[in-house]
Amino acid sequence: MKPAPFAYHRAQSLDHLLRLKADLRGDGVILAGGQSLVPMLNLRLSRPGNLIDINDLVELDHVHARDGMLRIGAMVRHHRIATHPLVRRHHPLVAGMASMIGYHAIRQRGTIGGSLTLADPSAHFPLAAMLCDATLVLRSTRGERSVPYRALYLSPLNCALEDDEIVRSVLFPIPPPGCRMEAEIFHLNHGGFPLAACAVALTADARGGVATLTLVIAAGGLRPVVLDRELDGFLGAGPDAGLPAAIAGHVAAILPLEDTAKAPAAYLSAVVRRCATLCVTRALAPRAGEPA
Amino acid sequence: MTRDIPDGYVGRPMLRREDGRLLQGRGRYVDDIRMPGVRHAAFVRSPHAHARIVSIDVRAALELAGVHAVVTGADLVGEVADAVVSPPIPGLVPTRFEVLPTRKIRFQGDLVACVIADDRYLAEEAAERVEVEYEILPAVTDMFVALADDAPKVDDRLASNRVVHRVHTHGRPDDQERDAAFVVETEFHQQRQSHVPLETRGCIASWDQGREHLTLVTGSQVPHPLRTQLVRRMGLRDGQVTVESPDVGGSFGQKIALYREELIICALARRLGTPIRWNEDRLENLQASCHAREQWCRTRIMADADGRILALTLDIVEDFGAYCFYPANYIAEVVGIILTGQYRVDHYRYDLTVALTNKCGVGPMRAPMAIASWVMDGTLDALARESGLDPIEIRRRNMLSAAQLPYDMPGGETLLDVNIDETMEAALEHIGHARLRADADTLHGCGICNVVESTTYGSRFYKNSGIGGSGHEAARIIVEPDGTVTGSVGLAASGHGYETAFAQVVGDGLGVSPDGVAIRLGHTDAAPYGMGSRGGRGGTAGGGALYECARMGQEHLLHIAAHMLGLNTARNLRMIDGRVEKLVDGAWRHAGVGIADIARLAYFDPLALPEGTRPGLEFYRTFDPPPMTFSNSTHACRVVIDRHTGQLTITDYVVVENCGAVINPLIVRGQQIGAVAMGISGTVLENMVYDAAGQNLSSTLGDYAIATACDIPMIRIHEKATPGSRTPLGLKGMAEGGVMGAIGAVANAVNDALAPLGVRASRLPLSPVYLHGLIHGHAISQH
Repeated sequence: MKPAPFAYHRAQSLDHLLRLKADLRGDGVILAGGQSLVPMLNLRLSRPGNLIDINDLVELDHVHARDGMLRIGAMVRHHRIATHPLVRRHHPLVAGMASMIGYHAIRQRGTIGGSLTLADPSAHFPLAAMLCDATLVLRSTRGERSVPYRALYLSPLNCALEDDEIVRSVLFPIPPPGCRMEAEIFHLNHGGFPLAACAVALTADARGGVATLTLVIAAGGLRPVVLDRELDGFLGAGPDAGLPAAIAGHVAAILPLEDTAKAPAAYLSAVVRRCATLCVTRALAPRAGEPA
Repeated sequence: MTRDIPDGYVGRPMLRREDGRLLQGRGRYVDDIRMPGVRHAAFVRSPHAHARIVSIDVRAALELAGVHAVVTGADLVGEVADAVVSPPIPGLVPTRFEVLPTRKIRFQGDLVACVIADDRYLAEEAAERVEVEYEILPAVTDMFVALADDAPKVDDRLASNRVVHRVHTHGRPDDQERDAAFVVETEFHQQRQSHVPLETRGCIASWDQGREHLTLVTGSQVPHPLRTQLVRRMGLRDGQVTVESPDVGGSFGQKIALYREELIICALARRLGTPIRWNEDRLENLQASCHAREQWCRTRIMADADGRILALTLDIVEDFGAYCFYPANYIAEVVGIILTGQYRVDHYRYDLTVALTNKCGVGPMRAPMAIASWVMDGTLDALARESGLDPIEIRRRNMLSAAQLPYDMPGGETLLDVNIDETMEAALEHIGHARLRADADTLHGCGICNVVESTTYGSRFYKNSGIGGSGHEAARIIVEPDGTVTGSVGLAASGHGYETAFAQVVGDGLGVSPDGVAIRLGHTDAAPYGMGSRGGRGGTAGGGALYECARMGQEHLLHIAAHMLGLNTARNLRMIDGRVEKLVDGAWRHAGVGIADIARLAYFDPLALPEGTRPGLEFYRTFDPPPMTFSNSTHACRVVIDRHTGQLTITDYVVVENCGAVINPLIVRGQQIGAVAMGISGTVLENMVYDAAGQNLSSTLGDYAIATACDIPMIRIHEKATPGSRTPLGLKGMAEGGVMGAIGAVANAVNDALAPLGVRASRLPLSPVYLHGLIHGHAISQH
């Protein structure tokens, strides 16, 4: 388990990084936290000619909240996101998702930029970014552009970054008051890869029924599925006890699940149904200190 | 044989002295040991499960600068002898195999060539450049398929893949059926697992050409038996080889055999004249080191209307993988021997079949007989469900009482010193009698498993069972010239806490403080030839040998002390904490002489010793334990199963344990919890999966799931200990029973939870996917 030979570059500044990316074109892979890349290198599943280490780049290590946006630098580690006061205050779902990634040691190294661009179908941050309709700020020597993550994520392990582009920051819209976000991750063992996950954003109407509803599902190696208009039929529904199960049943029915090496489609469907039920139930539950 | 010293060190929860160094990164594992000029090895391994080697082209690999050798099987013919496993056991087919295959590979990850280079990166780069042409053969990955007449043969030299078929019969089990009110057949299928030690295998071999001496540094459980295997295969003499295992980062049975990789490294170190190191990586460890546990059992129990057992039969089929590093009957045989535990069974038969397949070879893993307690108590639970009788009442009715011990078990061993009748009642009290009902979301179950754990195997056992080797252990104690003590024994510690526990034993045996006792282990030159660490033998065999040796030493020291004190007998003397004490008017008083005074005399003033006493203070003593010692326990747990997802949660877990006298309760507690955790992990998560073509689908830790501390419930442990009657200090041994009990308790609890649905889980692991399928009536194939 040693990687195939590669050239190692240590970026000294953001400009240096952008020049390296431009010069190396497609053959410069970024080493951030290394929690996915290094195993892939050691298994020789990834054989880049060049590795660009960006661990010195403080320009990519920032957390701000302004103008209705929570901005997180690409190099911010999972542990910092999980514990950062701004993230916890403005976006508890993102903080909570970060706290559930892998193990303690992984969270000390892994970065949000790395996780989002890897686009692992079962990972936590892609699910959160899809749910929140987060935007990635991309930079290259050609300039900067902002692209919704939902558009950037083409398919599992495949994000539509240009060869010379890097992620500078992630922008999460701060949820409006009254919007509840919940996630449920199903693992076979603690810290292992999730088998299925569901995240929901729900705004209740004055009666406690559903005013807005977005649901994201990750299961069976699919590109995480964002369900929004598909759930319009539930808008205006009252807060009755059967509602979460009804929504979950609808979600499970429309997902194109297939058998995987870990579990058959029927089982994945059952787990998705359960996760969705639990998420929606929690999102609808009255919470202390909030107006009913 | 009980201790007559009040307030001894044995029995005290002393903190482990080795933990300071191990926890601060100051251990000396193979990878910590630096050696100048060392070269690195990497192996070319087969990507196929079964294939003929047509050709191997090493030229491109040798062209890389820094690559020193690329060796194939043909290069080692004549230099290293084949592995031969052919003990005279009826029903066991003798097998042999080459150190590096020359014609055919038998599993994915099998060895094809070995590269020696300046560093491991280069070695792997070169290994990738070795071009091997294979003729792919059909692979057999299922043991039942392997036993069919037309199955592809794993070993071309053999008539079939069936390497063992043995039947042991006690009484006339078949004749009992006509009197039986109930006849119940039950199946149990345990999945393939692996040991996954934190420190993978590895070694550094160096050949001293001037002295013609080989030194092998490797994390071994059994340094001396490993040396024996090594000298036989390499054509050397015992005195030409030193095996050192300074610290071992976990072993669990994986570090007993002499595997092919270490042997190849030794042979190449000798051939090339440079030290060579090989560190197994995790991929190699999971794919090609050693697997375990893949067994299918079917019991057939015949009982009368009251649930009393009339007869029991057991069929076991075991998958032994591609190579026999051990006699292939050995693991299944222990299951057959131990199965009936503390139950009275007058008529019994076990029938063992072991098959070769195109998968990694297997070996013992912490509790080789792990499945036994589940099979026995699971059978009684099945009988209870079939008969409508209470499962606990069935256990009580068939339980041997204290008055019925010793009992000649139908498997052939003599059971004694066990008290499951007591541990079970205590466990029932602790787990409570509440019956929780199933609801729309959850199923609830409670499971009980009684465990008889065979811990220490004496030489008589090996002789009786036809397995080669000895069960004795050897200890050496040196009272150094300054009065401090060095004890050594032929074991190797992989986190066991031996250095602490054995210092306590020596402290009591010799009459010194453990603080002044150094324990040296894991070195064939430093320790006397012993059988190493395996099973639950460390405390009883190793501790017992050291204790007997220390007692002998104390007798000698007191003999000298009596002379120094002008007494003609040592009868009224004893040694405590290095002080000689004398019994005066019924009270022990310091006699004014200590161990340092005695040592000074023995080493530097021998003429002052008593007449006929030789200078020096070295003691050597061997100890052969009884044929088998037994510990016992009862495990009880409660589980909740989520009907929607099949997810299993263990909500309470109780063990009531009788492992005899305990040297250090802290260490024992750690072993018990560790064993239960390992058992739970194997019961609910771990699974070594191969596809039909023989590709290993579990060769990273992302795929081979192991329970973490977060997956393990709080484990409540209670004691109901009785001392062993035939061992020094009343020791019995432990550390494997927790695995056995965990499998049985959790699986029985799950089946209790499933019972209202009329389904039963017969396969491990009890994964959510599997349980969900059972609950919802659609059989989902086991993943």
